[in-house]
Amino acid sequence: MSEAKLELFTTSFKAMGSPCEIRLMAESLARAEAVSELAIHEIQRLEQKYSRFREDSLLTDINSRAGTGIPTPIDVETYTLLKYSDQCYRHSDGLFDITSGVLSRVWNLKSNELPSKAAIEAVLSLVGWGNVIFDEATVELVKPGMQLDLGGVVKEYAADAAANLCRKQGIMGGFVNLGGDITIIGPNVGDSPWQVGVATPWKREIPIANIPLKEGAIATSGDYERCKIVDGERFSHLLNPKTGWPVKSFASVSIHSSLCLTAGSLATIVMLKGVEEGLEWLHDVQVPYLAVTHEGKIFKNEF
Amino acid sequence: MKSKPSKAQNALLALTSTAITLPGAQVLAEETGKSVEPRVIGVRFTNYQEANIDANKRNDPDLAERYDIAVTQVSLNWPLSDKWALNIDFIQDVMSGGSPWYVKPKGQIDLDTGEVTDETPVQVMTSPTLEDTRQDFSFKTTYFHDMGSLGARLGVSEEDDYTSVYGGVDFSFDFNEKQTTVSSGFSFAADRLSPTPEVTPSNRIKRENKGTFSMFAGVSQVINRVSVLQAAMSITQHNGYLSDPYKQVWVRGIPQVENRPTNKTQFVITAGYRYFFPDKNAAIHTNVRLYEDSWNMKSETFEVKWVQSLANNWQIIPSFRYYTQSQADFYAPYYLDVLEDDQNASSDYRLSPFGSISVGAQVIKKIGRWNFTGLVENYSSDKSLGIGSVQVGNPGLVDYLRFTLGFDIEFE
Repeated sequence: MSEAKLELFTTSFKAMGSPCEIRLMAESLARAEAVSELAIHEIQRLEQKYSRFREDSLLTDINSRAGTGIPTPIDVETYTLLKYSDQCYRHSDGLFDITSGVLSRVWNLKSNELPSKAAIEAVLSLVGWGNVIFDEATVELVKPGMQLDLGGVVKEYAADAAANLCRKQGIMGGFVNLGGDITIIGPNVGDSPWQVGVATPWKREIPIANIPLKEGAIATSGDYERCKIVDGERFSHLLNPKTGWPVKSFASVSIHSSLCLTAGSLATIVMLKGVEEGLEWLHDVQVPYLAVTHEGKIFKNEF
Repeated sequence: MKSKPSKAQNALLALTSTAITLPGAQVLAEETGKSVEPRVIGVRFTNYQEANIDANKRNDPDLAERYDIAVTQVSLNWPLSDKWALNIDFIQDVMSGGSPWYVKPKGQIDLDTGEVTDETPVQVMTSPTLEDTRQDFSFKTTYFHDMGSLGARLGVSEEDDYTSVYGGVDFSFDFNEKQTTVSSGFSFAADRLSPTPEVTPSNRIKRENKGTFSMFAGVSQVINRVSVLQAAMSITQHNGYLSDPYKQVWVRGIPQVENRPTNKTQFVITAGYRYFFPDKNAAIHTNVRLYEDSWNMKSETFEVKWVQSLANNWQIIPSFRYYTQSQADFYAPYYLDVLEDDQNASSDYRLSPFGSISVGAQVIKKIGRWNFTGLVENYSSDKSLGIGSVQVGNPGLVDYLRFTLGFDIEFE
């Protein structure tokens, strides 16, 4: 069988608040564009459905009914994402909680002041996965003012879904990169790996490491870019749903797994656990990882 | 690598097995392996209360009480890997009360003419002191392959006076991107009866055996996103002692042990249709069952259930079942003439012409990993619901009320 000559095509775009790119090995530009368009469409579909910031999203629908006692009908995809989030909650001892997004209201990253204890307490009462009731058909937030935030899972899921769609279209090589969360479609030319760069937390354009990957996905969770500094102390955008306070953790954690979704959730859980406990947990999970502390110290395994 | 998976490794496994069920990740599922089903332990407590026999249908004014049956079920569904699963089931029935013994005409028989002064059949009951416990233990192992599954079950059921060893093999194949599933299998049972001597009249059997062999084949077809059609048929062959050693027949004034043929062939056809109404968040399940056997008994069952999902993980399932049957050809409430040459005779109400209606409601509530369920069913039977026009109904037809409470708990 003679192999068609494949070329590498790159499409750059912006989605889910991040710079994104899709790289495909394809026979022609036309084919690469057609497949990329489908993939981008899929990413936009997920953004439209699960964005907290869009009035027409399903998530806004769900959040706007919080405390009314009216359940919102959901489909299999949403149900499975909720079930998945439930697994994350349980396996992180409650640290990974998709109701904790409301905490960012009081931790405004643009302000230079710390929120008052009372303000934190008030908003903390709206956090609690236990107050989300869902089944295959509906979801309901029990308390008024509660909010679901699927930001921590949807971008990674979108990378998996887009890569999957490219594969279904017959693309054998390439990857989808959504703001550093990357799912490999298939290997590079001649079955060689892609060199996936993990950004240096404090200098994004320079990779701290290049990781050769032929399959699977890599996701990164970090707090270097999104944090606030008050009186010289840095406060991460990652908030502990139990205390309402930012966690003190790594500058970034990157994890390799078969799916971008699981890689991303594991990375987030490690961030939420903090350096010491996070490292211990990583060691137990036995996934390839690369974790960088704010002091510049690198911990890694199998990378 | 560690030899035993840690809690954290289980986290990765659990997250991955859920993630691959997402619609967008469906192709990846094939690459990362099948999703592992959760491990589930289920417990059910059921109580059947059979209604007393009406005063005008019984012989003795004092003996009206029938069975109370308490059933305890524990089931374990334990996937061992993405390929193997183990099911273990335990059932215990505790029965106490009285049981229909034989039927006689209300009046006196004139042995010369064979005529009775009052032909109304009345039930003679045993004293309500019967007690029996049945324990049934079985396990099944299932192997899941890429196109379906293969399962094997083995079980044993024990009573004071009855032992049954049973088993079977079944397989299923998926076609058409899992839109069509074909299943088939066979099962067997080897039973030994040894009626307890203290309640056994001298003319009763001491020890007998019977054997059962059954085969089935079925197909399930997904019609579209909201409806599924199922159909199946089975043939079952029974050989050996098929009579009930505790039941008697009244023949010209004399009660004697009942006697049924020593073999029976049963044919069953079933069809089911399920339709889901997405806008109502509800589904309708309908089932039809047609039965015929070599004793010339026919029966038809029609069942309908409405499965309604409500907010806060509640589910309510009202159900209705209609059943009708004709009699076995050797059945009679009592016998005024001498028996046929084959001596076959039984007055068991279960072989009589009758029909029944049962109405039930089930409630299910899911709280986290727990599923709680409660069920009430009212069953009543009557000769007027039987196939054809029934002249003489059996006075022992049963009505009962059933309550079930239980829970399932899922483990990671």
